[in-house]
Amino acid sequence: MSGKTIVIDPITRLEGHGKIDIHLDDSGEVEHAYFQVPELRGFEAFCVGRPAEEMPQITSRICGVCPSAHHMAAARALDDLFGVTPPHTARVIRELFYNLFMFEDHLLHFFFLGGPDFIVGPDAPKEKRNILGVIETVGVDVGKQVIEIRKRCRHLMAELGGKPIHPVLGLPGGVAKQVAPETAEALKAFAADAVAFAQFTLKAFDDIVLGNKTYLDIILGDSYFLKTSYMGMVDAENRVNFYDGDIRVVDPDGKEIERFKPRQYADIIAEHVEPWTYIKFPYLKKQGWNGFNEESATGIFRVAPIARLNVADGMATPLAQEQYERLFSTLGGKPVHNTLAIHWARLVEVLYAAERLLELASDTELTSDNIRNMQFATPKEGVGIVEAPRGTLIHHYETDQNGMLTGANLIVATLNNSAAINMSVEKAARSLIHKGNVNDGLLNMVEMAFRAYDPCLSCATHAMPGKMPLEARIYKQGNMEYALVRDDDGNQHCTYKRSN
Amino acid sequence: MAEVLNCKGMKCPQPVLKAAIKANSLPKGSVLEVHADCPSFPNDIQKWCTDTGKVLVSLVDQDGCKVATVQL
Repeated sequence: MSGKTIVIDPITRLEGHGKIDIHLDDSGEVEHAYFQVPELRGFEAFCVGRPAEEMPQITSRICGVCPSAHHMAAARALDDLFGVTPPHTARVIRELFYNLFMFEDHLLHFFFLGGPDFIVGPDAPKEKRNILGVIETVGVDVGKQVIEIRKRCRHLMAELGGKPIHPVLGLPGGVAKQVAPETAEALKAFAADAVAFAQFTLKAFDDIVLGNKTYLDIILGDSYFLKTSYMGMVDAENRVNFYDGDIRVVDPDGKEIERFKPRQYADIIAEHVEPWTYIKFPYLKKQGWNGFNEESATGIFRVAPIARLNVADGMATPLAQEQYERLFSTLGGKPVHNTLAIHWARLVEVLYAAERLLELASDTELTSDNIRNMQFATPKEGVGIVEAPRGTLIHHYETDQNGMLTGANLIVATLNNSAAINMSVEKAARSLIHKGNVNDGLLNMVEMAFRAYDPCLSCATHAMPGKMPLEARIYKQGNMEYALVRDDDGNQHCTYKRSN
Repeated sequence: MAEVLNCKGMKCPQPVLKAAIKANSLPKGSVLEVHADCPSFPNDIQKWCTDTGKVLVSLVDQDGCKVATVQL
């Protein structure tokens, strides 16, 4: 065996496009593994010159799965840009809408994307590792419940946000639409059912995953263990919040090392670039970039569900708090560095989102018509941060005095996890692949290392469909022989052979 | 002489945002005339005037759009 390269392309059950190259040495052991993103997007560039108030609509087109996160981060950036604080009712409507989104998006991942790895099995035949395999395992009735609860959720999102995807809800200083009394009642009824469904899902996770020693050993094993810092949003009492609060960072031992307001993000986070991928690698400025190295003092941090739970002192709702405590007591205390525990943390957040929905739907001012603050200041700069399902999402705009965009920077949730995803994939590959022996089940277990993060690569590389530059490389015995290159006009203009 | 702001073709919240930005650059007491055809413009301009202490002098139909005259 000499210098074999294993390519997983495309990787599956994620949002966007990616590939994994695993390079083996002469003895068939893993030398390196690369999680590559072969798509380039350019939203920051073509937003420049547009009126700032269009950003909630433009940036929501970055993604068809998480448009609500971009919409809300943009709306919050516009609040800051125009110097307006939304009235209480507008804030409640926004947070309600946002928790509906978090609820359905997390369930999408658990049942359709990541969950099949456990519910059907990591080494089950690949034609079974999908939602149909999940339904076959849990039963048609449960499958119908999953589809029904998400359908009701999306319907309410459309009611509040104007459309089921690409909402038109958020305006600088408020929201576009008042909540009707009958919608408020429907929200309350849905929230109660959502709490029950979240508990049902956690019970299913308990029975299927935690109750299975083999799965628990996989979760707790070295293959999926990565020691990093963590970042997430917390409220004034250091509890998880998706919509508003400070951003807190803890080190690998769980000690707070940063706590900052959205406007301060550029003092805390910098971005590193590698030549083999279009995705960038954010890191903590103070700690610096020390490579993809778990051992050295590192600026690499993680975001998303387990990160949010690691940085917080608790959950703001009672049932989610119980689950939070149970998670950490089961997994050995804070912080938890087991990558596959993200699945569990995601379900704790599903329960939190449902309980928070119930609180917000019961707000006595929910149906008030006081939904906008129009005392706009002359714009210059604004930053908005929310917790997207996949982690901390930052929108930063600069404008001229007429509110026309002169600069935009989007640090997207998956981007924050990009270094950790690479390290997780390489660690899993090193641990699982030996003497060049691979099979479909093993390669899926390598994919499980990225899938736990629920990466959204269309967001993380923020391109017009069909226009993204792409290089497809063909290897023979470990050496690259051909590269087929498509340029950024979408034309294949060059095919060449490289000499070894 | 009123400063005229043409916001025809713009959708909510743009006309009022543009009016607010323009108003911030004009002296107190001056008059701003805003032309807009977004259906929500009449309500928005009235609310903006109320919230910010501006005087909505008139709001009339003209050539298929609404014209709001505001004293700052």
